[in-house]
Amino acid sequence: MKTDRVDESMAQLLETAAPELSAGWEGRAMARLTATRPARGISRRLVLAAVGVAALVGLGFVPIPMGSAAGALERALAQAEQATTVHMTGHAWNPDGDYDFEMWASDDGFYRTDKLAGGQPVSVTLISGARRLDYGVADDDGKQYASELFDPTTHHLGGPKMPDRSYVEGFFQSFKRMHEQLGVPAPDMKISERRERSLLGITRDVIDAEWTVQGDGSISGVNYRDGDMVRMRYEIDPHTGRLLRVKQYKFEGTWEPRYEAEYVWDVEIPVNVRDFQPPQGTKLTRMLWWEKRVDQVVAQADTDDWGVSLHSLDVNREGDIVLSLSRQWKDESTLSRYMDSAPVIWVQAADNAGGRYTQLNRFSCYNTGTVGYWTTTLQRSSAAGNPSTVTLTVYPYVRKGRSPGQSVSFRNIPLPPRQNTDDLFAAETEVIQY
Amino acid sequence: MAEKAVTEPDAIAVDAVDAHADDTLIRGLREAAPAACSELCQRFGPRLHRFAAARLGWDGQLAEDIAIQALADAIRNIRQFNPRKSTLSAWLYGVLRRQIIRELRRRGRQKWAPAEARVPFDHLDETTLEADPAGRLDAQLDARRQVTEVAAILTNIEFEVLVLSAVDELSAREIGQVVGRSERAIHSLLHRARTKARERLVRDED
Repeated sequence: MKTDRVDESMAQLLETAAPELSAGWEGRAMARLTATRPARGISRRLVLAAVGVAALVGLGFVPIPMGSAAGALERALAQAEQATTVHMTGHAWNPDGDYDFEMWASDDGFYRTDKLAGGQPVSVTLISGARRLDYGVADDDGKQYASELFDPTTHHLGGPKMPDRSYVEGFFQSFKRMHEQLGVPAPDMKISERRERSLLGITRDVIDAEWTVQGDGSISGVNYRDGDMVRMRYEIDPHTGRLLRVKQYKFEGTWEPRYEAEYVWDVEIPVNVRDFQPPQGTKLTRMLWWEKRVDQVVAQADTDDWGVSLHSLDVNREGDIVLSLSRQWKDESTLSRYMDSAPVIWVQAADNAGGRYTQLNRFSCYNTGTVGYWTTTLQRSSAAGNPSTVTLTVYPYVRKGRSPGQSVSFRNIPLPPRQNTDDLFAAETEVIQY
Repeated sequence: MAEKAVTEPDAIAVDAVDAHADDTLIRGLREAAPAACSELCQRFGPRLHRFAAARLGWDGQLAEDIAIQALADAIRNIRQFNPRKSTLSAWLYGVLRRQIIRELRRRGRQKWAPAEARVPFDHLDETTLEADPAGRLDAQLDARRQVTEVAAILTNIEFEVLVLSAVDELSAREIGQVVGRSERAIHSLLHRARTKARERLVRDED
């Protein structure tokens, strides 16, 4: 039934306008139709599936097995050691939100990684030498913040390590070695190395590693929970031996992608990548305490296991002393026994004016497995006199014991003039509002 | 016995009967049963012919050929018909429409050839006309003129949508299946087509 007057009018007009069917129409039609047989062809679904498979194979999504690729990962690691730069781009699927990322690294000590949302950086880390700049946007109030500091451990190591090398190594060598050293059985890791080729003639060595996560943890920023089944896939160019792609999957009935990154090696790093200007509205806090102290050595001595260096003493208007110290483990082969935590450097002090000092629970530290840089504040408990020297007894690693063999004494160290401030760290902190 | 009121459930029942009839017809066509071919021809032939004629400048003979070709194509490809995706009626109009488009491309014709030039005068003797053939012809020519004028202000797809709705009474969903648009798009197209057609038809009445 037509509800619209236009429809009624059009129907009438078309009924009237339409030519009559010819008298012989039905006979002609029947002759033709009864001579026609339904096609028995392949169903459209099958045709589509076949076309789809052909396309996937052609595009390289469905590869042709070409045998094993034993040692491919070792070769890729060796190649990575030879590389001077690497550029990585990728995407991560995290329960608290997906994101894109981009990373640049160079063996001259440059490293930059950007986390992107809508093409805009929401998190940037830029390391140039020992300087490190972090930029981010707070989740709660959306405020932009940035901080810049000087990392003495990076300075000590001669710049950041190419992160992909340590990263790749981490899941195959260090992963098992760490468990062995800790005396904990490593989780079963099923590893396959194979060579594949697409119809386009592109050959890849593919390494798959599957294991069950033990304890909650994160791999490349992607969070996993205890019991999750994870697959890491590495794709390597067999001609150059270079790592081309890394993927992570989590098993959720099917293998769901969680992370993928593509690598390009030995690229020139653009000049503008080496610099990052925080956006308007960002508050940058710059603290470069160690930059002017790391290469100073006021005093140095060794315990049985540690080398201890006193880099500087700074005194505030009250006579409190801030010590900048470092400790370095002398025998790296046994370090792992002490890696479960990094206790503070413990210090006893007395000055030549009879002053006694209390070590405050106010530290800063930069630690690696072999070296630690610490600042610690000694509060002068007696205001009497004006000391010119101080004697320090330093226990670099208290857990190892306070035996005489594990402490050093620095006697009659000259004290610098007092500075006209209570908070020496605040005085050296620069705040810039963009 | 009191007449039963026409209610919505009855409309649904009619649809169900149509669907059952379609199922039977489709099974027959898959088996190439002559009875099924005959039913297909009688049920859909005139409708497809009328639609084809409207799209092909009232060329009755050509419309017949195209309609027969479309029905033959439908039988050949009947195994591809999926009743879960469309009704048989919508699917047949889709097959016909592809034939029409192919024909228009092949001949490089305009959407509307001059109607008068295509009136099949030589077939008049064969047709069953009313008592007044001349009057019938006048009415036919006048109707074609009006439809031609309406079509001239509509796009091809607006015209098709209007014809399929007004004359063939296909639902928006079915029309969408014929012309490859969403149901919402069909409602929009229909609204535009009706608005434009109304202006033209009212002017004609004045």
